[in-house]
Amino acid sequence: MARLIATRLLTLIPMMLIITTIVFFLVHMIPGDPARLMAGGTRVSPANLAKIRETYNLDKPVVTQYGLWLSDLAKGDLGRSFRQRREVTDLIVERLPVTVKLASFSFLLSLAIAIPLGILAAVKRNTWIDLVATAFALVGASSPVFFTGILMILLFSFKLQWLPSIGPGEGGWDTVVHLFLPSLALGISLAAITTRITRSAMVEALTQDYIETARAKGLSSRSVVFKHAFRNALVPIVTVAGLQFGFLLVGSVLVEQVFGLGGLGSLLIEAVQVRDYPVVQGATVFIAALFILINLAVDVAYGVIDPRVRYGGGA
Amino acid sequence: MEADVALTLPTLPEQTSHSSASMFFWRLRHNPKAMIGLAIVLLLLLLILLAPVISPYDPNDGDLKQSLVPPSPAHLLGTDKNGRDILSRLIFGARSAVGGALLVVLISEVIGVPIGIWAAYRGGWVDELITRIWDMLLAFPPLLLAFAVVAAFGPGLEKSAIALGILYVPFIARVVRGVTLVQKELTYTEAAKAMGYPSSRIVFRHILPNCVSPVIVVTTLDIAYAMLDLAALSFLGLGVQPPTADWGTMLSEGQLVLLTSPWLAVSAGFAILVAVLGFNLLGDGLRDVLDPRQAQR
Amino acid sequence: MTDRQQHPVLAIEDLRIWFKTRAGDVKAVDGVTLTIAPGEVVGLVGESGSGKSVTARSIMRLVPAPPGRHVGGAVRFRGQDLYALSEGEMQDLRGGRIAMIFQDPMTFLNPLYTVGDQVSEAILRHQHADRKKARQQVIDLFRTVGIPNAEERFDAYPHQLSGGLRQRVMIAMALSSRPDLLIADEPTTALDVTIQAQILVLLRQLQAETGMSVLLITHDLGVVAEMCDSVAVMYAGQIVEQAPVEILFANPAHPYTAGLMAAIPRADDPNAAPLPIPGAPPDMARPPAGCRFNPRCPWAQEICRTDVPTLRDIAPNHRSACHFAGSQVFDWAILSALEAGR
Repeated sequence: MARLIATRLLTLIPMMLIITTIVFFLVHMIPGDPARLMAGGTRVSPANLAKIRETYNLDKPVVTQYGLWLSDLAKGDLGRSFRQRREVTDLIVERLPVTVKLASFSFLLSLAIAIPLGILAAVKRNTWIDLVATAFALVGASSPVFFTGILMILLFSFKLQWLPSIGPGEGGWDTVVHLFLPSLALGISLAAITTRITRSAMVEALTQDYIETARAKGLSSRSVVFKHAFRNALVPIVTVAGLQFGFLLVGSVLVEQVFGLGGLGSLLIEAVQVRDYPVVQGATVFIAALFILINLAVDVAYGVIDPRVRYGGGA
Repeated sequence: MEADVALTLPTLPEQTSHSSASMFFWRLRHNPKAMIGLAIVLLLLLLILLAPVISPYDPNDGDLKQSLVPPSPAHLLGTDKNGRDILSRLIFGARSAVGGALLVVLISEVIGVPIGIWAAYRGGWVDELITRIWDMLLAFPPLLLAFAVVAAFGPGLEKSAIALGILYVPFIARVVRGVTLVQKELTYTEAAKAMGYPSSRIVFRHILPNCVSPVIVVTTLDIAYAMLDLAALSFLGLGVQPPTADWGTMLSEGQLVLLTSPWLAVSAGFAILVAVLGFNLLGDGLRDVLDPRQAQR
Repeated sequence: MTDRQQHPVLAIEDLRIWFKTRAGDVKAVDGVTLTIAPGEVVGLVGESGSGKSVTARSIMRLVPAPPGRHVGGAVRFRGQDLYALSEGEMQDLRGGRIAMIFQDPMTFLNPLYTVGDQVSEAILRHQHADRKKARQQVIDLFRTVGIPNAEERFDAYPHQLSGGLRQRVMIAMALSSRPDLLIADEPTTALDVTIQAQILVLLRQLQAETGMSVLLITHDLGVVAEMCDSVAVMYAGQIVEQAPVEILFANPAHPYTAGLMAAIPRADDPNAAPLPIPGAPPDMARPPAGCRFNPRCPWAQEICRTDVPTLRDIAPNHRSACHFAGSQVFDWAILSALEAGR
């Protein structure tokens, strides 16, 4: 197990290197002069421009800039925002909590919806429950998450007046209340895909021979479904749940925008809109790193679920 | 299990190319998902072609005195802040929605199909390197990198579509590579090679025809994804720029007046939902029909 | 009729299990009648597709429904009709008084749990035992079925064991509650030849020790000769002949049985080519009228194409479903067919 984690950690390094390289050069292909842009106007004295170039290393060749940026990155320094004149790291730390809360609530909600629904659809295959689950999966995956969010606001905030529609709340219970609708909107989008995978993985697991053995032992349908089939279905479910983390991050960017949450996603979008490159770079790399770490966690989860991964080699 | 007896029942008569084509249409007609999807997609295509004929108003011509009028016989879906007819803007919006998505998918295919074939055909380290890189890209949400592209090149539909098109390459390349690998292993390709046919002939005669059905399925589903991604970019103000009629921008305009005039956001949102659902249904249905083995799962 | 047969452990009476398919109802089990006495080992033989496995599963009511459907008939276990029980009562019987082992011990064990866990599960389900006691019991069972290093094997996963050991685990699981009836569905088919013999010896020995009844499903008449007290021959969803082993081998009373025997490769004369039965089993959605074997039967007459033969006693303990069974002409024909095979 420890070896599995160690080898996976080693593969993270080239992955991070490639992602950072892509992001850096993408952002540095910008047409126009970043120093001028940063100074915020056309009437800037050449002396001022030179000063800006020096502070942000813009006077050095691109490759040198890349090297400097990388070595700063390794030290955990993501540079300074052009616009806000603050450390990118500080900005991220400030905006991160809302996003983490939103993402985890959404993820939990999506599992709470998708897993029971997917299992039920598989067990009651070709009944109306299955049809409802399939319809939910299709419509949920086709509705843009920001539209789902807007529908929630219309229904639960405006019409029923049950829940607030804007802002992240002021801690404690207030946060839970404020984050409920955004999390539900994002959770439904995630749940659409997870329901589908849970259903097909369960259908597959339930037709395996060992299910017959379990039934022949006299186990109740509940033990058969949950103990024997569901654990086998978990591998594909965990894979998809892990892959969905990327969607979760992008989705939270959109949902934050709808519900005015001002998290990491909003930081990124604001930076993109005003072309604040260090922030775009920093936030993208940070999200990528998070994303890669989650993938590692998924790999470890396989080992926990499946002894054949843990001990290496199948039959 | 001996329930398998059902599988040993006499199978259908040998398939000629004619009967397999009619078989395809028979199964397509009997697949409700595919038929509903097809109906929606055809409707969208009609809207795009006939937009100037069927829209009641000019989509960009607003009457500020008629700002934010609720749905009425004169304006079936009401008007927006600038007094423009929402129904007309929705009809014209189909153009940027479907057109943009088609552009994304076309770009991904022009690049992805040759890369997929090349990777599988060359094998060795080329294949290794290419698959490693796209595995990484696949694990990464395209929209996130699209933000970085927009940051660099500025907003706009074409720029967003090109960026997404490149980021969608792995989706299609992966499928094409899989098909090519299978075909490459088949003996008749080996035989063709032994007989000294040039690779290009093998590619055109054996590999490309076998790619057609999986590529059709992936294309249809990718159009749905691309529509969602482009709508998201427009919603964030990074894609289609006003005043062009677009569902994503209409939705973000609608959000500003949600409390007083919800019809704007709701109608734009439903337009996206129905269009995406149409392509998703059609893609799913086509997969059921073209690849029944996969569809059983 | 002997006393043993008057109080059978299991009596299947005119059982019908059909499957719904697009081509119509597949009559996988269509009027099966079979009895098993206490301590008796009954072989159920037939080609693949004849309905043996469905019959085996229908005793335990393990046939998935839908598409399977109990159309009629009864399965009496110690006099109690199993199809009249509730699902809960049935679950108490499964793995308790009636146990089953399957063909492929790889796919029939759950890959994610240790073999010890999977056997304990059966014990915890049917007996008042805590985990510790169950563990000890599993280890004892493992020793009984000849698993070496039983204590270490408890914590092994299925993929870490050989095919033979896995089948021993399955047997241990089935025997854990000392069942009255063990149903073994082709228990050796998926194993190497040498392992097959070991498993058969083990089953025979365990049967002798516990006195349980066994229904052994196989397509191998050699296994039947070695293991069974009596045999039932199944064709196209029906039992066509049932008799004690010695009688059936000496004096087969159905053309299909004779055909099966002629199809066995002969150990005493390796040069004699086995004679496969010509033709294929019928489409069970549309079985032929009259005797189901008539399209493949070399002696079929007009009556065979019109009248359905019933399974009847042709001698003490010997039943056949052939119109001509018991007649002299028939005996002569069968004999000459078997001679031709020699």
